[in-house]
Amino acid sequence: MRQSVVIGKANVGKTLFCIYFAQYIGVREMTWLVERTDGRTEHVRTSPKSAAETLSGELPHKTRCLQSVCLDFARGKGVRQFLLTDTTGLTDGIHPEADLRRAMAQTLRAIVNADVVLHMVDAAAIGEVGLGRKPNRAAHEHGWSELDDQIAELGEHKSGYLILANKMDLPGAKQGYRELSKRFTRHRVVPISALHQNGFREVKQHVWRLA
Amino acid sequence: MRTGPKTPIPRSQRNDVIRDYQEGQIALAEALSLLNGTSQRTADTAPRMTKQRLYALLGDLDALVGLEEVKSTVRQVFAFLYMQERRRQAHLKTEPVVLHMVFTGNPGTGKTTVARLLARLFHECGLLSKGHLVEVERADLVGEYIGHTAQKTREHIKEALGGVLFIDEAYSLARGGEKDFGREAIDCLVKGMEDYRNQFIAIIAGYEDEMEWFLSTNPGLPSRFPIHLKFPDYSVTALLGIARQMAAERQYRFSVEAEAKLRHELQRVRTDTLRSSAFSNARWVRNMLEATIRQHALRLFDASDPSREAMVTLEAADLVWGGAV
Repeated sequence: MRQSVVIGKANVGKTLFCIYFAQYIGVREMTWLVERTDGRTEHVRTSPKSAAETLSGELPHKTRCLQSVCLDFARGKGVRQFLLTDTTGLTDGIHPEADLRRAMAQTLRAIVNADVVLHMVDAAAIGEVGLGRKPNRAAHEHGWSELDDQIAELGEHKSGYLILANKMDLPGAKQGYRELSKRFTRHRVVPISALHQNGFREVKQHVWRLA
Repeated sequence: MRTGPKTPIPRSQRNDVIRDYQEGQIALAEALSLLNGTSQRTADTAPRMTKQRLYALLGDLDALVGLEEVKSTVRQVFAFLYMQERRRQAHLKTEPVVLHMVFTGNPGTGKTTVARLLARLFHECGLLSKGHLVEVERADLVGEYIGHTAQKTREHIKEALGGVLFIDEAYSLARGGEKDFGREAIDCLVKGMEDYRNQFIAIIAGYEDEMEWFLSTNPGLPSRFPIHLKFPDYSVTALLGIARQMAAERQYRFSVEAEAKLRHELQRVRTDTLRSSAFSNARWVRNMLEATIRQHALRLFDASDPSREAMVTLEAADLVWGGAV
């Protein structure tokens, strides 16, 4: 079973993407494998609707553990399984909260062990700030930063690496997508909107190929 | 067959990096770049200043006799420097420190000795890049014609960068009155202390009353020297300890009678000069010891074959003290 992780900054929409993407693939009742930072694991069964309500939110760092959901892809005559793991959002620098640092360290471990990295970024924030320009502080937190550079670099070593430009429904996101695809070739950047479930077909094609 | 994910650094190192991040030692972007292998783990993550090293350094300070107040202040400064270092490792903010000092005390109370020691200690704990001591007095700073003073003062400050600028008898800079060039030297010095705040430490030293007056002449001066160290006069016991230590350094020792005689003399000199405060403390002891050693040599010169024991023991008869105190 191939393992993939969805990573990115806090509050870019990783959890929402995982839920809706799983739903899009055809998972009706989700079984989340939740790995807590203290090593405990548990299975949580929810419907996509209630998951979207309870697991994602407006505030950053809603997710503080690894949540994986198993996806089935029909491939050839058989079925390939694909583990999609939702992770804790990453923040620049050293986070003052020890619990959150532990959660982020868990994310790092997950990244290292994963085959496929889906790197999610906030295209709207990038459109506002730009890729290269020195951003102001507020926008900087959600825009492109050194952290994303490093993740992109790490992705080079993986068999699959994809940038998901999320929040395409917001104004300014088109500009962000253009900048991203200029920097990374077009086929590596996929514009999506997790909230409105747009662009999932393209993601599915990529992921199917990797599975 | 599926091969494992390719990452450029071995698994054990990977775990170290992640653990370091979890413990808040390194930033996330740094951790990721380490995982990528784009940057190498630098050696300076190891502390430059360890506790053992600090204890060793402070041991030199503890070897000085007396000066309890000075020692406790210096300990405080070193504890602060150590915490700065630890905070830096934890990626917390560290403000550069201003450590300009004022030493006040009577002659021979160890001002120059402590300054020299501090220069070395600060160098060894990484605060000063060179750790040398530039000792200047009024004549070195004050020039002969208008404009010459600033030039000379600046020259000495430049020379002291990375070390300690020790200005002995600093009050004399302000003594010449309104038109004296000493004022210019003070102004220039104050400017230099601001400009090269973290590159050198200025220590001004002098007698207590004069220094108090000196600091009051320029309103900006006291606040620019955050550390004030008072060097009190030594007690008789401390002076005796100093004498013993100085003799031991030269591989001599006092006989019991010599020590009793010395103690008696010290008590007499202390009480005699208490009012005039002209007693030169440890310097008196040093001069006395040197004269005594000469006298000791003269006594043994006549002996045909002095024993090893006789060569190191200073007897009561050898003790000499000149007129100067």
